[in-house]
Amino acid sequence: MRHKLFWPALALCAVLLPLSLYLIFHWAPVDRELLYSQKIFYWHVPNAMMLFVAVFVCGIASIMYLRNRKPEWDDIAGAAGALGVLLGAIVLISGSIWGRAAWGVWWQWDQRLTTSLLLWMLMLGYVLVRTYGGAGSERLAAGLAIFAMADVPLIYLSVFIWKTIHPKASVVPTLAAEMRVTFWLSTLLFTVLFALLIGVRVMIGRDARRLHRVREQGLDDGILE
Amino acid sequence: MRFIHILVVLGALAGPAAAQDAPYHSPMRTTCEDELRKDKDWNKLLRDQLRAGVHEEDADLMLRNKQHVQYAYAAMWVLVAIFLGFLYRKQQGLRGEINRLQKELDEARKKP
Repeated sequence: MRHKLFWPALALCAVLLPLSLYLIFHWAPVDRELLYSQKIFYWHVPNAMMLFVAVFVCGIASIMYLRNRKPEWDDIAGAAGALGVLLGAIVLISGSIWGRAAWGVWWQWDQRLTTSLLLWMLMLGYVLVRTYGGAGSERLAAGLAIFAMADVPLIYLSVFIWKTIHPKASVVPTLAAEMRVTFWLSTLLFTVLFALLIGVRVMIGRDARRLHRVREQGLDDGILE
Repeated sequence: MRFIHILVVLGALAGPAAAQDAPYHSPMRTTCEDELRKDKDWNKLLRDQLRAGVHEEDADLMLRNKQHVQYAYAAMWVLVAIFLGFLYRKQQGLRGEINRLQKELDEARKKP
């Protein structure tokens, strides 16, 4: 059964997607320095923001799961972890393409980029441990998620602590009004999309537990072998 | 002797810099500048030729950037589509398995 907010959220996404496309490619002005490649900003940054949210949701849900062992928390952690891998891949790939356009290189071992890659690898490790780790692997993965959460402030502060080529996070308030509106609308789109995807992934986690229950029931009744 | 060496080194260092800082003058350049001032049409022609070159370079840069933007946008939605496809397959598989097992259990329970 789907959550009552599923269809309204999907409808909102259907409205926001073409609107954001129009705003990004037709309404927002072209940046004087980065020219057209600056447009990547409108989905690179919101996805990075959602990645941080996903990692925090995964980490906090993992702490709650380790404390009270309620499987609902583990469902949320697993969903956020899987989404973290997706968002991390989007951020790294879009950032790499932007880097090629703006800096002339696909990759630079810059502190912001390296710590982001580290976070993505941690989230990938989290998903792999959960998938192939066998019984009790969700507890081991929960520890990994808490460790990954600690990397988020490091990524955010990396541009302030070290001298990096990556632009600072404080660039948003300095944008032109049209650029700011486009950016926040794009952020809203990805927030709704994130909520939708996490909801769907949580439902899959619940289905997996239901399957486990049905199997155990069959085994207890001596029907299944 | 050492003093002379120091003087030579300082002279070598100062020499080219002084030459670079001085504005370049030549009779040809002066003639060209005079002609450009006198002949407004030639001035405009040269400016237009230069402008086209600059615009072409900018247009090329923007076009190449456009390609990068398209790749980045496509990459994002391709990844989202793969993720959605993966979720759909997983959910269908789980639901199919639950229904199959449930049916099997119900049939077994009905048997005496």
